[in-house]
Amino acid sequence: MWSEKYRPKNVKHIVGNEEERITFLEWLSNWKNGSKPILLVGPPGIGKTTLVKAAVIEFGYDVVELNASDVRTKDKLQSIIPSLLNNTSILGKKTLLFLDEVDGMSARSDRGGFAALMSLLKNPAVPIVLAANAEVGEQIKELKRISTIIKFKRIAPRLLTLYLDNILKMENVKVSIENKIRMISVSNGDVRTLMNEAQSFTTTGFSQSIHQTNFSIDIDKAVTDFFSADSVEDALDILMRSEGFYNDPRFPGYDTEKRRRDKLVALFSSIVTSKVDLERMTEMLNALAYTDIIIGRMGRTRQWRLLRYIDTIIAYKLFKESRGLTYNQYDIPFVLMNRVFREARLIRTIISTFAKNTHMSKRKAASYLPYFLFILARSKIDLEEFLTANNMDTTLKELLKGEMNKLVKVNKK
Amino acid sequence: MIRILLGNWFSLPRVSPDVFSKLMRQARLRYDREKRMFLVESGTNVGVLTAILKEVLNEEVLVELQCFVCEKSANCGDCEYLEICDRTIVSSQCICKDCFEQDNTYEHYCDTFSKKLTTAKVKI
Repeated sequence: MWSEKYRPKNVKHIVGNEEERITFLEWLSNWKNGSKPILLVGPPGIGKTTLVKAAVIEFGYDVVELNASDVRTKDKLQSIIPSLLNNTSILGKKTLLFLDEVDGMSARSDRGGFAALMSLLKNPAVPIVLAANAEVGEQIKELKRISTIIKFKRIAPRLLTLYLDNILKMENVKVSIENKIRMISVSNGDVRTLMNEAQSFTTTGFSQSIHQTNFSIDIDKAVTDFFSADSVEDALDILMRSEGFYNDPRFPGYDTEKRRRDKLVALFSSIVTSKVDLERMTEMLNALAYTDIIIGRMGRTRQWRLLRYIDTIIAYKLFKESRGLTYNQYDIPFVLMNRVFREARLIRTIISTFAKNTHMSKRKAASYLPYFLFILARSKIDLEEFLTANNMDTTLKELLKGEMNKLVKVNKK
Repeated sequence: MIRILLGNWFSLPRVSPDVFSKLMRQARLRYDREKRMFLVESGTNVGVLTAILKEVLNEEVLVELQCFVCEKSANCGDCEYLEICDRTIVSSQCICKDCFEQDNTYEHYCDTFSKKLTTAKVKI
């Protein structure tokens, strides 16, 4: 990847954010025991991590780096703190702690990690650099109170051209000015995107960044258009431009409306409510299940950056079987859904009466309910009499009977 | 049209205390009482600044970046990237056309950075 191959090894070779870079280097060169940690904030791909990595080499530091892909629990942080307090590594070099993507620290998966980090930051024995993509959230607010903040901004297009020209010169590749302007426009001030775009264009002749455009489309329209696209490339383009997303645990607090816009959920609901034969539906659901497993693995291994490839997987796996479907936000057919809602309400009534009569919690009553119904079915009691005796609504009789029959049938099988 | 060169002091016509307060608190401009001039700093919200000035002064505002190499204006009004460069969100320095069109521009840019590091007394 060009973005790694040409990642600047020297602080002077980075482009953009000149004042911010100088401020950071001043902080590092003047660092003494007890100096405040530094928090670099700015959008991805503008050189925060590159600056830190280049600076530690030039200043002769050993870097202990923990990014969002690492587990940053309290135990993990406490295991590295004692060695950091010595301020020298095995080879006698000074040490710097770099915590990348601190805005991605999760309260759930990084158990106690944030609290441990805060106590480490209050009295740092080594230079500590934190980096975050956004300046929002409670955690960032707390970090801002105890650290010096440097805000990084996107890179101006002409500076991007300067950098791109240098890379193209090294690669001995020529690109027309129109294509350069297009790539720079697409990159939106992000060097990493620009490098990926340039590499993709110069090696394959195709742009890989349609998804970077600012024109996003609603999830409902995106899913419908996906199903009616003429080619898999068009379908992929639509998915990449949709406003839907794949749940990323680094950004908690999504409301119901946003969760509904999860592309995988939207595709699932549209498929299961469509009138297609079972074989075709199986194929499509298998494709979604496969994708879901991959997303799950990405989550477990904390490789959230790989989420960007999910659209491609879906487009290629789902395209053939999904022609002619339309978007539906409900994941079960309306007729069935109506029945489920109605019966669920009635079953909740049974559970609550059963819980009241047996002095149990509703949760416990719900867990015992199938056994209770099974005993009831086997005992051949008159159901209406039973309901009246237990102060239960007699209109529940049919529903109870149905549930009991189902249990008996299952037992026979 | 009001031209604001990022990183340089600029003056404005006299504004009401309310507007001045907005410029200080919302746009986070710096003000020098002696010079009676304003400065856009790295913490300044350029988007908010231009919105306030457009509303109050009823004039177009052209924000210009500074050339990192020669420290003059990058002449954003004549730049080929004018349409796609959102100067309210990019870092305050760029490179002007004259410096850009010289030979070995990238090396020149990198050397300028090294010189500025030396000026800032950063020892690597």
